[in-house]
Amino acid sequence: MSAQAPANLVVMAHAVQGALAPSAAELLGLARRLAGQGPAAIKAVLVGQGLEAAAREMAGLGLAEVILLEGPGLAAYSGPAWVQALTPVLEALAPAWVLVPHDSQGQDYAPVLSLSLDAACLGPVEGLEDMDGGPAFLCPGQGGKALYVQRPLTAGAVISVLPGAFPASEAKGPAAPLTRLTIATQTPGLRHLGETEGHGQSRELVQAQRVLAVGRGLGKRENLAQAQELAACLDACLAGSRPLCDLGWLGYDQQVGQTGATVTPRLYLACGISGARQHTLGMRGSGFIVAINHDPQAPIHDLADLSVVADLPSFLREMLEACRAKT
Amino acid sequence: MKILVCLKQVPEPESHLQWLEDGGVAPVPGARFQMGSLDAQALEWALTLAQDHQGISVEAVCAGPARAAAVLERARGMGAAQACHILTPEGAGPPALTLATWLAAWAGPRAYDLILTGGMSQDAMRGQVGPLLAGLLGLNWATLAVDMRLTDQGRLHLEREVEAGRRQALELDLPALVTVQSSPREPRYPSLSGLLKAKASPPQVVEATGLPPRAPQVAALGARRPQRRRAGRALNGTLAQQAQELCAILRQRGLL
Repeated sequence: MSAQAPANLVVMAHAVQGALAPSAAELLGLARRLAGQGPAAIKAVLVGQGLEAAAREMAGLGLAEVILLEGPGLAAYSGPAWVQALTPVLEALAPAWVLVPHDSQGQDYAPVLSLSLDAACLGPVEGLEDMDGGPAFLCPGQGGKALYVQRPLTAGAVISVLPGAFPASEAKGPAAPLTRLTIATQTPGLRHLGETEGHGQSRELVQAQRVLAVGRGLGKRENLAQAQELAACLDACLAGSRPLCDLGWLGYDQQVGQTGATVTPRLYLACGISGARQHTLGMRGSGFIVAINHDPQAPIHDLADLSVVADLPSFLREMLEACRAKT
Repeated sequence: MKILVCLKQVPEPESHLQWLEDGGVAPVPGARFQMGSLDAQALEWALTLAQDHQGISVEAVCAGPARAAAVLERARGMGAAQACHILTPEGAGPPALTLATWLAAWAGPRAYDLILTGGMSQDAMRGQVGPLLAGLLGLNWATLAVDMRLTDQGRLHLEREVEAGRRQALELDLPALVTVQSSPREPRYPSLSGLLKAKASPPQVVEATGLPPRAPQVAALGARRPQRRRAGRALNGTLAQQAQELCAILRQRGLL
């Protein structure tokens, strides 16, 4: 790259059921930070059918260009089709960075896209650090107890970025030019059979002002009754982390996290939850967070306004007594 | 039909970490290791498919240091017919692309019909090795499967979990690679006879250093402790005192 030529930065703008995902503006915020060093052209790429409105929305956020890749093979998501469609377009742009949201699509195609671009794949990123020699990325590891510092060694890199990790860019600008490309993809051997609601999410949970969420620290199923009692006593909605739903102790519609509900209650009691990103993505916007976990190193404590380091079942008993004593 | 399951040995989830002088991080000495939980689910899927259909053999591969042999012994005990240990040097785990390259060197010439692995390991948490392996082998792939079955036509029908609990259904012709998300399926326990068989025929060992090298594309610059995002004041005293204080604070804030 010569000093004069602006570097291309590409933001992959994903859509959920036709609407621009919040991650698009977050990745744009990160792109602007990465672009801070020198001249750069930030472009957004969308893939899919029926996304013109989402593309136009993206075009109003102060970008150099918005590229919409369309084609009958791109109506539903599949990794192989997306990599096929994206590779020639991104090769032509030769971007220094391709930012991909680490959602159910991005985590699926980013690694293979990096191979086809001969670029490093790095992520999922939740922080950026300025170091000698340029930016370094912070990626959670060890159940969230550590952040690995990483930097690509290739000229271009595909970076997958955790949704919610960076503030959304709020800048607006004149409508960027929208380029629509129709791309024929061939993915023999792969057929879409549609999408279903799955387990969905409980409306009561999403709207709750108080949530008491339990995790593996609950220990035994028998202890669930106690958590239910305390939830009732606190007028809180009972929820859980994914492992508890996998165990069948709670329904999947009561799950908080990346594959469940995102909640922002006034009070969130995280009981026996370690605080892996998959869970905290769904609750970190809560008003007041109380973490109860016997492991003082558990990452949930980093998110908490108040921490209790205790064995959960014993603490639940004491909490029930304290709660009943003055009600 | 041959299924390969790629397994990783990871520290037990509650293992404590030590921060190393070189800026890295590692499990404390004496930490215990186990089969990655999503990898165990991948193996359970493979064994279930083999139970439900005739003529399916399940093999396991694990890249890791000497201690990782325990994972393959368990996999054999659970029902894998054969196992390969890609023996790596001790120390920090390799980059995802290196790991995928080693696995591809093993899997490529053996032409498996289906490769299964966990969607993400509990230690590196990248979720890249599965898709990278598919890319290196030129296979169709799908990630985060929560359900799968073989159709009468010999295709793999699967459901992957997407945002807000929604599910996407796909059908893949084989060969293909699928990574799995957690599901209510409890991985089976190893059987005594399986473990005895495993002891009698140890896994084939392939030295990673003898496999074609791959230049790293990502520089590892150490590790950081996560920063506290909120005050995180810890309560003190007996459990009863802490519970009373917590209730008092919640009342004070109008949360109770």
